[in-house]
Amino acid sequence: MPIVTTQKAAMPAATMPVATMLIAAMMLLSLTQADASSGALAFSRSYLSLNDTSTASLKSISQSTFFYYPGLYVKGYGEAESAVKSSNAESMIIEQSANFSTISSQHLGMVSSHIRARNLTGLDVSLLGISSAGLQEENNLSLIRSESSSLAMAYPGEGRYAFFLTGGHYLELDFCDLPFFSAQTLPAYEFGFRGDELRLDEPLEVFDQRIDLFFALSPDYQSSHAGYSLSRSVENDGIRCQSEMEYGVVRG
Amino acid sequence: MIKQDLFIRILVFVILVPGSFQSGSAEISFSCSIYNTADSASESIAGENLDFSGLAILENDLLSLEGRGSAINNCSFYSYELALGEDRIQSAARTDSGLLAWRGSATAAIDRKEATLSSRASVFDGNLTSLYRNSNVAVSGSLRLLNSSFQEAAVISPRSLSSLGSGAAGRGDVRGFDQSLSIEGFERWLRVDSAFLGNASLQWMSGSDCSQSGYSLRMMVLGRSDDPSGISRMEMMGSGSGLPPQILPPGRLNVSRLFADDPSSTIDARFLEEELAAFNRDNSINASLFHWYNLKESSIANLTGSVPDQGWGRKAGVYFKMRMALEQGN
Repeated sequence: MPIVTTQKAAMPAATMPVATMLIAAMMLLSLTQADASSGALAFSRSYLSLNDTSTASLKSISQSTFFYYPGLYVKGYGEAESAVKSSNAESMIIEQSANFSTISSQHLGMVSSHIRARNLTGLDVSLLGISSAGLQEENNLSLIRSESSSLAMAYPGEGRYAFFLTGGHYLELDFCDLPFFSAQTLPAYEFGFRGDELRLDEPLEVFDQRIDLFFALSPDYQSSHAGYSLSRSVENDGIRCQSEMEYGVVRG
Repeated sequence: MIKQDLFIRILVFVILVPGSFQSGSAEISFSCSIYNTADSASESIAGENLDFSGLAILENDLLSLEGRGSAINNCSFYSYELALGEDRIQSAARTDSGLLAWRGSATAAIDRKEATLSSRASVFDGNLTSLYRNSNVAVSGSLRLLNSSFQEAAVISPRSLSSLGSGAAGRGDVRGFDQSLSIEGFERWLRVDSAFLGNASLQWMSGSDCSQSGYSLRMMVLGRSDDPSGISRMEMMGSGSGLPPQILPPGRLNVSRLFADDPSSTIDARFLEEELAAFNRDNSINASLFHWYNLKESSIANLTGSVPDQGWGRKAGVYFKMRMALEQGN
């Protein structure tokens, strides 16, 4: 029986600064633990929607750790940072999320950035994911435990906003389908995507871009698969351009 | 006295076949115009190292022109144009390592008026330039291949135009292509440039479409390499009238192993302060405001985004796919 824990923080519109209308700033944190230790999933999402602003930034940091008997931990760290500029006061939406999961002993992660803006003149996006596993002393070996924390910092041109969530849950272990366990020190993997800076003399009327940085580690933690996918749609002066790219590196 | 309509049928049949030669090239040119009281039609051909045959039929109420040709060796050039009334369609291509062929026809009768032109090109490890044109748009392309092959077909009519090409890497340590495809019409233009060079298995496609409602270009590249360092060039760029260049890849991927990782590190209060300070500094903010809100706990069954299912059946290496589509509406 899956357990889902969801935590949500939202900023009421009444606290918005005068110059910039903050439509919504929201953060979600979700932890899911499937039956026993067969699967665990942590998910966080930061959402920033603005009106009448020409610049905005959002930085999201998320970390989740799954602890397993008899002291194995699998940790995922995700960081997404987006900065958007437009030629004049416009509406824009920045949405960032991080996923970490251990399913069938495979360790998966994804850090995403989704930006929608009008009259865009500048954009910076960087995504970072770290996955590590190792041994740690556990006080209570009869439990597996998941912890997840997330932090979002929003800069909507005027004022700054920070949200922090943390959560976790505990579940009885029934000793089945444990992740790979080894006494040796396991390496940590760092996966990063740095988007090329976009600086435009003439603004793009419509801009919609999603970038996912994904990574996976094999059950023995010796093989990795990492990559990114891009989907970008722009419109300007009656011309529409859709770009897509997938790039992945499999290391045996 | 019974008045009889005057009926005239004129047939013109032309075959141009250059003789064999050891070196150099054979140039040909030919043009034909026919007309009756209702319509007019013409065709013209110019080129090098070609076979060409044409047929013209002229009657009181019928005009018909047909022409077809092909290259006789790997180095050839042609430019073929058909005109029917005010409508003009054209196909032209040049290669130094491939085969070219085309076929066109124009008919004007009482109940119909139509013209169409189709062409094909096949190139291996060489160059190809092409031009396809009708009354509204002109599609031009250039292609350079290295240990790769490419085929392209185009169909042109006075009101529509489409072309589709596909390529694949052959053998050799370094393989790739450099291709440009552009379209002009209605006082606007679109262009896609793409290039790949490296030790990789590779496939790519390119195409154009034009109708009365607008036109488009598209290009896609996909492949695999054993090693990221085996790819020396991989890029795609789309541009157009008033559209800033759209460039792929959009950034860089870095994968590394960390030898020092602190398992006990968490996003704690100290971490928060450091991150916020850095964030505020990056955004030139003087003060710091914190808004803390009550956390509301609820159950939402399907909040999660999807994490790609990474099968481990894939062979080690680099996998890539780039795609770009440009559209211009009228």
